[in-house]
Amino acid sequence: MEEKKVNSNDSQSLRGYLSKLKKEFPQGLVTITKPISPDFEVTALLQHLEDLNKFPAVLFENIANLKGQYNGRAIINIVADRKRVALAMGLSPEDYKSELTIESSRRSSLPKDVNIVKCENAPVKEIILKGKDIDLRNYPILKFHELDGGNFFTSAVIAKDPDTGIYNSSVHRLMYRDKDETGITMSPFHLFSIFTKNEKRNKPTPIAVVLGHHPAFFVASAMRAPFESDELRITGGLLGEPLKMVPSETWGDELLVPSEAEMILEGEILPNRLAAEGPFGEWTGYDRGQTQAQIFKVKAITQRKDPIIVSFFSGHREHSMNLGWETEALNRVKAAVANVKAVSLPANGLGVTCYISIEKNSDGEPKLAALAAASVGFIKTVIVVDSDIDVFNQNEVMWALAVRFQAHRDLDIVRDVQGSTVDPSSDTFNTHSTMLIDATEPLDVLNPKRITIPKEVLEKIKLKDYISPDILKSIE
Amino acid sequence: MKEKIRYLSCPKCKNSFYIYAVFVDKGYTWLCPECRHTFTEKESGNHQKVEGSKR
Repeated sequence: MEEKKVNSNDSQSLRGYLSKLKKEFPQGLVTITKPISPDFEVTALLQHLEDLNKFPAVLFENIANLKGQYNGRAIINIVADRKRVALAMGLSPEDYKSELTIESSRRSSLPKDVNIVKCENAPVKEIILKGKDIDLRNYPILKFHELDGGNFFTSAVIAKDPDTGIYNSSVHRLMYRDKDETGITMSPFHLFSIFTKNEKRNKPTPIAVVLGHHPAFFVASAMRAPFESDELRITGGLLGEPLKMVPSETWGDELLVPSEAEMILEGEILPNRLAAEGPFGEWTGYDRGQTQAQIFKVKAITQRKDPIIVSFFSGHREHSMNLGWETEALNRVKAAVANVKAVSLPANGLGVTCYISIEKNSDGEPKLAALAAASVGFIKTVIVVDSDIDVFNQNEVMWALAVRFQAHRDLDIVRDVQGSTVDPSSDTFNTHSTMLIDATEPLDVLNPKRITIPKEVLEKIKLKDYISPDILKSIE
Repeated sequence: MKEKIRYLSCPKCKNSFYIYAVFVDKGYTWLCPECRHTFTEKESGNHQKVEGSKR
């Protein structure tokens, strides 16, 4: 084991973000110092909080590793709340609705080349483990749900296209198998494309599993941006500064890794090898049965001295709070129609339901906007509304659906669209039907007006003049 | 009704768990989530959910 001192200012790290959270939004972070097991106990605590409709980031300072030693640190729910993600992006927590998506969209279109730093300035190189020192059992790896088949890392994976050299970062689950081995599941998307190219050449795929970083890194990794887009450059765009990278221990300059990460597993996805993996509770809220997945062999571990491992609470709100997909949906809708006001992927829609508000110029624009959004991730229900509807207020969206939509006229279904392999409602393994709903008022018809209270009367009659604060507070 | 999942039962500890039907009859080896025994579909018990199994 190699241990060294490093210099860094934490400007784009997880712990830099946590310091900011403690200072500016302390109600968004809970720290648990009591010993706790990674086997269901962490998720039980989070479930209790969820039952109270509370979704703080929870930092565990005393979580057991797979050997039962209580010496680990982990954090979960870092992106479960939009206000905290807004803070992570340098916005006010109050700008958590369309302001956050619009700003994320703007920054993602201004990616920044990475900044390669020296090893002595890379906190992720404080400790380097290779060979017989590699033992994943030394880390807190969570077992989330009762039917899960093992303990899982849920985190971002970096790989490089062997032909173009473009980097990709995406979020995956990795099931612990042995002290230097995990399974890794890949949807048929970018990482799987990179893997398939290498596998056809009978070559392993070098990857870096990033177990902890700034929330912006994970937002970019979840974006499903076009293949040519480099999520590491997009992370720089979201952060407003180039992402700091450092040569990996295993491949040097051939595969760079984030220097401010908490911990990185460097290794290879093996070609032509499959093994049983799972079951695992997925974003659907259902247990995904056991499957066959590729194998990841760890060749090096680099970490901070006391790493905080980030996990994502699969199948719960954090899994559905997908600013990444929302940003990409806004990007694609903006390319399709002129006047997009907002795009929202509400958490209770599990990230596969999308609301779009537009100021339409023609009656064909809602469908075009919907088709653009439906090309992102596994989005399968899109509702388009006029710009007077707040798509972050589900009451308003439902109102538009009630009074501005007729199924025979405003509903389209597109069948057999590539989707998730874990959607239990699908008739096939990996396709779904997409539903496009136009809940906008037609342009060529004189429409009735919405009911309103006269503005001058609303301004004249103040609540505090009629109802005392105590009574106002007590009203249910 | 189209089969979506198929239950396997571990020949060692008798617990059952399911796999997606798309993986059936492909010669794969499966891993019991309870006792970690590996086995093939042929070695599995009958493909029904085992009474009393939590899965």
